[in-house]
Amino acid sequence: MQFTRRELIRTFGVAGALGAFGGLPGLLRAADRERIVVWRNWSGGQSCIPADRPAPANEEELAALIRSSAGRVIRPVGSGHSFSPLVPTESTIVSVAKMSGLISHDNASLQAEFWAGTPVSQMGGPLKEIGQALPNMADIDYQTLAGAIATSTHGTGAKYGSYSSQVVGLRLVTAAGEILDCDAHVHPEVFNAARVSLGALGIVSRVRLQNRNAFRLRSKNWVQDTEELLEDMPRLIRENDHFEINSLLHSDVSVASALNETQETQTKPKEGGGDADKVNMLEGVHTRYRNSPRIQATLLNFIARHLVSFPDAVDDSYKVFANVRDVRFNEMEYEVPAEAGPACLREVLKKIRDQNLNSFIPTEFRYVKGDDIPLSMFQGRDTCAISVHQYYDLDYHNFFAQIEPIFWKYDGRPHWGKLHTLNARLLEPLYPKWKDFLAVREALDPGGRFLNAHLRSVFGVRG
Amino acid sequence: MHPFLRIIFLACPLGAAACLTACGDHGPAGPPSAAAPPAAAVLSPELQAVYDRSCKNCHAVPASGAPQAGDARAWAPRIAQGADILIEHTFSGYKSMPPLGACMDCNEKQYRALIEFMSGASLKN
Repeated sequence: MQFTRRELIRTFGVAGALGAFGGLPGLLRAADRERIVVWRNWSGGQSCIPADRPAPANEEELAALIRSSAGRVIRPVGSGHSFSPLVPTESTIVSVAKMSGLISHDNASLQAEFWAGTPVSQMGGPLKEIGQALPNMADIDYQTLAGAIATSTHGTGAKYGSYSSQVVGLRLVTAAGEILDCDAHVHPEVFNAARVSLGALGIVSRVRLQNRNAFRLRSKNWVQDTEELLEDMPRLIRENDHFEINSLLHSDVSVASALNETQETQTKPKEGGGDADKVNMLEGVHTRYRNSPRIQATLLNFIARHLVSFPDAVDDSYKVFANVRDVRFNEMEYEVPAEAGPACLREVLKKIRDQNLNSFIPTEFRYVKGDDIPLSMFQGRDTCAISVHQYYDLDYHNFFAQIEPIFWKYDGRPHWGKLHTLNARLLEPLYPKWKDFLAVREALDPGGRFLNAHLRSVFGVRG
Repeated sequence: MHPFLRIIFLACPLGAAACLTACGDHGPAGPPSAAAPPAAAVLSPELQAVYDRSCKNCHAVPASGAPQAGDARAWAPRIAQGADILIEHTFSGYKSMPPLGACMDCNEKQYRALIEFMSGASLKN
């Protein structure tokens, strides 16, 4: 009979387990020297050592798990791509990764239902086979579907909402272990709240999405003066399906990206691999010339305009939207009213340059259509999403602390999956339907089983 | 060399940067090649399921930049670093490799078996 280290400690206590196997060395041999498993997010900025890491195979196992662990905190975990501490708990983290793939679809309505653990990267292919596509996608596809909708993850495009805005139905396993189907007609108040829930209402097991017909995209990227781009922004977001700019810190230029639907049949695939070469170039310039700001700016302007190439691509939409990110970073993003976006970005870039802040990863500037979801960052207003990043190996606290007040000045709402310092007292005024969400949460989970310390602070729930 | 170009050359470690790869990258190696047939090792049905829903998303997609399953040449420099480094990168994540390899309930033995399957090599320690 074999015992895991955890089972030994549970059965005999630490001292008993050590004694039974001749002290620590003996115990390590008995446990085949397996390391303690620390859960971390992608950036490494968040971590925890959970007591349990179950991955139920189906909804019945998930419901049984929740019922059998009454009184214990449970946090759902997706791909670990959130930068904020949504997951960490010393109790249980539950993965629905085994519930993955396309469940069903409807050709007439262009709707499709997926298991919630499906990685977004695994949705494009199956959808294409049934003639459908997600109308818009984020610029990475590492997220799981459940994680993406829990945090209102989004791409760019003034006419396109977040992933959550495409949800037309979902199934939730509640704190009582009950399975609850909801949509606009069945439990509509739960449905509306669950479309962006931070995993605080229960565990989502399946999601039905409103898609569109499959399509192809052409991506075009170019380098241009940042001020020219911001001046021309109304036209750029009006004339392009999906438009964004990435501004190089400590310089005068940005990389503009325009993605538009095309009927071109000849494929020009995106370059493989990630962005490490370009980011390493930025790091190299910043490291050597940070203390010579004028040289740094001149070099960055020249290199971006003349030495770096950004080839066009034409392919199926899901192959063009997503990028490989192989340089890890931490991120803060705020959503400001669309019309305030250019002024806010100008102030962010000026602050970074004037204060010579220690960061070199470009900002990201995108547009998202407003929606009607209580906890969505896009609730009630068309939005401009502005992100700042810090290389994972550099401290982000000082950098983000100097930028965050600028976002507050522009009435910004923090992205739920990214770093921010707001608690319930500061968040409530930003969300007109805040109390609607809290009422649903209290009704579904009065004991706070799906709340960790971060979410207790966010929702103002005492432990 | 023109002084300005010399500055750019000094500023940009592009030669080294160009060698860096991406998703699931466990260390230095050349660019990934198209997915070759997986190594001769056979996975249990349980681990095959883990491979299919987690590892395969990068390790069978050359554009991801990850070393491809069955590409012994791409894996060789990673394997040479030793099992401790590979397991550490699997646990903590590395470049675009997600922490815990996107398998939240896997244990160390399973990670070792999956690495051996994809690399076609035995982990020594």
